[in-house]
Amino acid sequence: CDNEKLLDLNVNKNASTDIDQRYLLSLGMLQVAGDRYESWRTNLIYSSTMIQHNATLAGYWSGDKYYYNAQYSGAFWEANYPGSIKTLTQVVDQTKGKPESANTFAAASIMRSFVLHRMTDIYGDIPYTQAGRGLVGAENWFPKYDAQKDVYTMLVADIKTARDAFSPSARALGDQDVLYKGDYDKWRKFANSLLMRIALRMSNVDAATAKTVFTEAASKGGIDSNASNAFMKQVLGTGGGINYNGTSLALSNAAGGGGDNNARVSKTLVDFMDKYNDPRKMIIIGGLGNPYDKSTWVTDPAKQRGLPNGYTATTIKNVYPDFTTLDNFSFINTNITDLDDPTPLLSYAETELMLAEAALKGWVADDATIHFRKGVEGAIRSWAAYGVEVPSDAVITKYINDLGFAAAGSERKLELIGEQYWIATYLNHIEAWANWRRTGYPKLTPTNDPANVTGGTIPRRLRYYEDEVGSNPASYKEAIARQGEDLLTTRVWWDVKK
Amino acid sequence: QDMTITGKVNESGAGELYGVNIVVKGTTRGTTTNNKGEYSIVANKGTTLTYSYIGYQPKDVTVGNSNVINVELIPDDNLLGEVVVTAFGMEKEKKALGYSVTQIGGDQLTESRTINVGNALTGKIAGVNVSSPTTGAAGTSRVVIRGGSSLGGNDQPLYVINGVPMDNSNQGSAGMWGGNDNGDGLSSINPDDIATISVLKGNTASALYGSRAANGVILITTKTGKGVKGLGVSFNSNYTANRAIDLTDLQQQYGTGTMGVKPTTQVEALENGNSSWGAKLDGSPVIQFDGETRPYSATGEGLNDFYRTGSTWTNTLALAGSNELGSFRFSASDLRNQDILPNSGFDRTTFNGSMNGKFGKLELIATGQYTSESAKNRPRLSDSPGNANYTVITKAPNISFTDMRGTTDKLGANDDGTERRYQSNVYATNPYWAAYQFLRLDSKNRFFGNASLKYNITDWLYVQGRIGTDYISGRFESSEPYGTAYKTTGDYNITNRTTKENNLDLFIGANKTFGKFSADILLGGNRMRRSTEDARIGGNGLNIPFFGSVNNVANQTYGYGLSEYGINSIFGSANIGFNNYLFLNVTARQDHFSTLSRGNNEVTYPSAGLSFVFSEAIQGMPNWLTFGKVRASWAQVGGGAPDPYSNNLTYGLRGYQHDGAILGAINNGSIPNANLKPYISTETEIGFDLRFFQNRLGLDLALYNRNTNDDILNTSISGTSGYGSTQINIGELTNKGIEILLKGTPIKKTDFTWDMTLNFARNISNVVSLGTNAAGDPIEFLNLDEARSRQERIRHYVGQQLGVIAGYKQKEIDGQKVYDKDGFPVRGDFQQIALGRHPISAGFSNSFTYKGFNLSFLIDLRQGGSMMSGTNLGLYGVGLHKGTLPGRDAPLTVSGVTETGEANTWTIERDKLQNYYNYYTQITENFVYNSSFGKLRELSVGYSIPARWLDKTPISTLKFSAVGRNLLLLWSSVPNVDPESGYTASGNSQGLEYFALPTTRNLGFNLSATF
Repeated sequence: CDNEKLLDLNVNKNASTDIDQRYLLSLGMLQVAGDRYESWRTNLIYSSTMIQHNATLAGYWSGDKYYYNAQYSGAFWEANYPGSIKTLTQVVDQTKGKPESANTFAAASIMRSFVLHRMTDIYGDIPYTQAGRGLVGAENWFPKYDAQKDVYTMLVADIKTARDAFSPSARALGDQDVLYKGDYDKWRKFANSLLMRIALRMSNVDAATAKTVFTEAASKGGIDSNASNAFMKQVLGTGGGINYNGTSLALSNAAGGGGDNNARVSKTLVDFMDKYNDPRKMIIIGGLGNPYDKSTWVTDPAKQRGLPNGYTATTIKNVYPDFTTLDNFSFINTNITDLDDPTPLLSYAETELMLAEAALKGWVADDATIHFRKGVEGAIRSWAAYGVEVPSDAVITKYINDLGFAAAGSERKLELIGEQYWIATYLNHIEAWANWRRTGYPKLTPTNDPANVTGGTIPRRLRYYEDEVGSNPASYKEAIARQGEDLLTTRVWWDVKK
Repeated sequence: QDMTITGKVNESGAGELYGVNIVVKGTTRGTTTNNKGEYSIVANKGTTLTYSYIGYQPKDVTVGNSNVINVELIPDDNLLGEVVVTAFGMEKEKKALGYSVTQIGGDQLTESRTINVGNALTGKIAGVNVSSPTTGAAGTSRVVIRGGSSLGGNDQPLYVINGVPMDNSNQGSAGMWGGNDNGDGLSSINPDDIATISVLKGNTASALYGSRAANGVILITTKTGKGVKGLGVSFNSNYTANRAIDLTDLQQQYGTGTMGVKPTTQVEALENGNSSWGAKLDGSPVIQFDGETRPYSATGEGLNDFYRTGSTWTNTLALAGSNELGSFRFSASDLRNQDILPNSGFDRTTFNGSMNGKFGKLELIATGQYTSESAKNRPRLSDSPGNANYTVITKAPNISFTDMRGTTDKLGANDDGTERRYQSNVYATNPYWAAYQFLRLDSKNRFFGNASLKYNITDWLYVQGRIGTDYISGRFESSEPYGTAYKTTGDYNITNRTTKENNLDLFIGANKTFGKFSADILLGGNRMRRSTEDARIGGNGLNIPFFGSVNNVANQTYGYGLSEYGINSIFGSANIGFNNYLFLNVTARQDHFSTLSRGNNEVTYPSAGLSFVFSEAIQGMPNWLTFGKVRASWAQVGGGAPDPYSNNLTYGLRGYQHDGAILGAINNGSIPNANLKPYISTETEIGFDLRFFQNRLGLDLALYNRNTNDDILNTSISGTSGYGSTQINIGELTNKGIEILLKGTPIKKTDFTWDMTLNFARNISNVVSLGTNAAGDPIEFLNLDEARSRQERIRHYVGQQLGVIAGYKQKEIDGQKVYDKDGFPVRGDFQQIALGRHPISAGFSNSFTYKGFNLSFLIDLRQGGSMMSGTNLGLYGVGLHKGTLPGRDAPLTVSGVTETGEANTWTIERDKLQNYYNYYTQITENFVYNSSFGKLRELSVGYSIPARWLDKTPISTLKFSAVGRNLLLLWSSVPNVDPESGYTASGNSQGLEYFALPTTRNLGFNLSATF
């Protein structure tokens, strides 16, 4: 028979061997924003409780009591390497050096850097150079882990290259740009804010480089208003998880999510908001009781009660002998966890707070107080993107004045910045946890469940995805040898604060 | 001098036999009887004529003066047919074969039957290792011949019905994340329609079926009307009741709670509803998950308080007949099954027909079967969502199934209709909700059959064409209902799948004798095309609560898949005989695959076999040696075409947008490889077939050595590369084995006969090489499936047998176990722990016949493999395993060494105990058990009503049997679960077990009658 006819059978009629790389870019960006899988495990179960934004009594919310759950610990890695990193690396490699694809290349490269930066902050040494490049050749099938120090160097270089590559004469991104709709100015601002975040993160181990990177980025301009926030727009599309906000989906009963209602707002955060009479209290808290049973629902701000971290349904009775139900504690506002609420990646508020810190360090010549005020105001106003009512100007101004930043001593100023960064990243719990590790602010009291695996200290990293032990043993062992034991207590390169 | 002998051959006491072989002994001259049983042959006076016919004892008659010789042949159910079915459905004399073929009659499959006929082969054939994963009554069977020749997951043989390949692809199976076993192609076969099953074990035997036969071939020949005089009617009815075998032995002293404390609030009770780490059961009133207060005491319930008695009833009616023009057979069969899992069952209706006719030089044979199968709620397995088995076995001692059922008619539901949760983990589904509210319906309409036309050009030359088809239309409907705890608004999906396989064969054959030589030559070609197309509609979220319908889905999604491939082949074979005692078979085949790239898609491979019947060749053999044959063969098979479309990178579009953006994705999860080429498996086999004392004792022995080179493997790589695996030609694998079949008839009296058969097989595989990695270093192991506990895998290690369980051992210093500062076990390196497959299998069957009574039993054993029991790991986690008792009343003391190697003893207080066992469960070796076992697999007692009692009835034969299956687990060292437990038939998961169904003990009866 005819061999050619036979071979024709192997042409997949429902797939193409070529595609507009912008289609991949869009998917890759949404994958960075996160699906339910890793948003639940990494952002909520571990990060939100470790950083005491949320609290829970449930044992499987491993971050609350510093347990080790291999699957939750590894989830960010498990989801992103074969997801966003695979997709975006392909786009970067296919568009690199092609002037007509400059915008596609630049956006993909920034998003790839963003997710790998998160990755390294969570785990430490990670595959960076070879990550997502299995297609290129067998040398990348078992990627080497790059030391975090080197990852940081490469991140800075990659982001700068991408930032400077956007070009109006190259093919437009248009609707395929699900973050900024093809507004390259906003992309550059996002890139600069990301460089500022990266610079500050390494400021305790390599202050000189940190300063250089920060000042260069700051001089070119970071995100300067909430309108330029890197908030991924989410929609109520038919695509399920990828169309939705992954964190919302994990918490929500909508769309068959099987909402995980085991978390409440942490007592640490509620007490903090009460202490300063924070106008965000009833933005972050929805109420008390069961939000799905209006007869039990209490929205009176005075009656709200945060759940302390680190307790189980049994041990909580040592603190609250009258405990009967989790509904005694304040529930996360369901209005900020709608399926189509945006996913925060990096905000104006964070940028201003970083500038405030840089001003204190003397890296920039600006007035730290102005940046601090802008940062706090920007953080409060950013909730408008979630469709909730933003406090009046007067309330915001009074709140900021009462914080007493201008009059505070320099260490107190750092603490105030750290506290405001912490509350400003309420839904971006992964970022809140990373910034806390660097600054030590806010001052958190660790929990001490008898079964914790950290000796009663807040975890400094998550353990690698366990699959790597079996599927990439040589690289894994090399990383452990360099970085230290694969434990929740091992510190990453930049984490040196006592 | 030459004289023409004519005559007629009859069955003893019955009608004439059509197709009986008559040979002049010592020559190659022969003929066959026509459809009236008549024959004519030229022979010399004093020579001997041998009359042989499949299923009958051969008979020798010396030619005397008369030129009419009428012969009666006696049916022989003692011999495994002298004539066996081989490639392309051709019957061959067994003695002429240079390779190992084992054939069993359909009657061995009908009494102690299973829904999947593959499972009924268990223990019956040396070298054929059958395991029935505990995936439900109508699940898949796993049949592995000679250990399998591929390092990849596909080690299943090719199934061929009446000469044409049949689709046996799995329609869906459970993996580490759960799922259910949707069965395979074999479940369509009704054992009552099977005349013989012939197993071609070696490469030589399967050389003519090509690449798909690299793991051996199982040839199924269905019954025909041949030899049935007039119209014969037969009826068979089989009823089997199944009961779960409860092997659990769990602690019953401690109830729900945590840290040794019983719950005091409903929240706490719900939080710890699946945790048996509470206080000692004392009968005191304690609040439970639903807010009710009940005595804190063990309910005494076991698995069978949830599972029901299952049943399977099969009725088959067959009509058959023949006349001078041809024959026909038609059967209709109906099977109704209720599985042990409540609300689960399987029904099957089959219609099978065959006809053949001879019109001068033209012979036409057509066979076909239509099957309608439908299954309801096939059991969900493995990971907990929707898996009732998970929650049934992990239920705390003081919680009652009665209270899980709920108080309304909707089982497993709260009053508001949502899932009645009895514990806090939304992913552990209430077993009643899982069984009664989850919906899975699948149905399959299938036709397979073939028609062949043979034209005899001369009496020694023919040309034959054959067309075969297998068409399966499947429909799968499933819903996770509204109100399910982990998926509150539910989902609904319908998938339609069509699978088609068409085979066209054309060949020319010649049969001719030249003096002492005989030749049987075949040249031909085959064209195979296969396609699978599926379309899914449905999605998540039901708009109107509790209304399950695909039109009520809020987020409508769809999916479509099409996969096609083909193989073109040419082949030839020649069998040369000398003097009827020396036979040489040679074959050659060339395959072209659609799934490989141009230039790499062709493979050619030869085989040769020699058979020497020394009992006929050598004069003066002792007369206790009835028959003696030695055989030797060498053969290659090329194989391993990968999945379609896997040799280049493709992109796909998501069927939805995001805020105006089109979303595209890389389709490949595995790195494509355009350089793949077919692999070659080479096998050398020698064997003996000896019969002694007029067939009272027989020994068939085979030794083989098979070597597979450049296997195509989907090997797992680090996910950080973006891809989970890559397909490569890699490695070398050998399988060496021995197969022994010993048959004897210790007692043979007029009224009493005792037959016994022992089969034994040992296959030792060795992974010789797995190639080199990118750096040029040898690859030491290959990753296969992962356990749900995610800390162990199945791996192939170089220098080891296939399928090793790898995981963590406890760290040791100088042979002493290491504990950390708290006294918790410290993990050592990730390493190999035990072999996940059994190298040894054996079956021992005995049959006693006394007048009309028959008693038979089969003992089946496996030896040498181990299993990683995820169920036992899970039972440790929830505090139900008896191994978790130490430390509950008084502190636990452990002795070992510290991380620096100093001897120490630790006391684990109660508040650290759960954490201690949590660390304990992180060490794989604690849950790896030797899974060798012996089972009383089959037992049947039958009685045939004497013919004289039936004289005045239309019934000609009537037999009644009581049958049992899996009656006794004779030995096993796996706690709480059956050593055969498993959730999938996939070769990549053998050695892993996780919350599948319990095995069942089956009892029933079989009634067969002919009219």
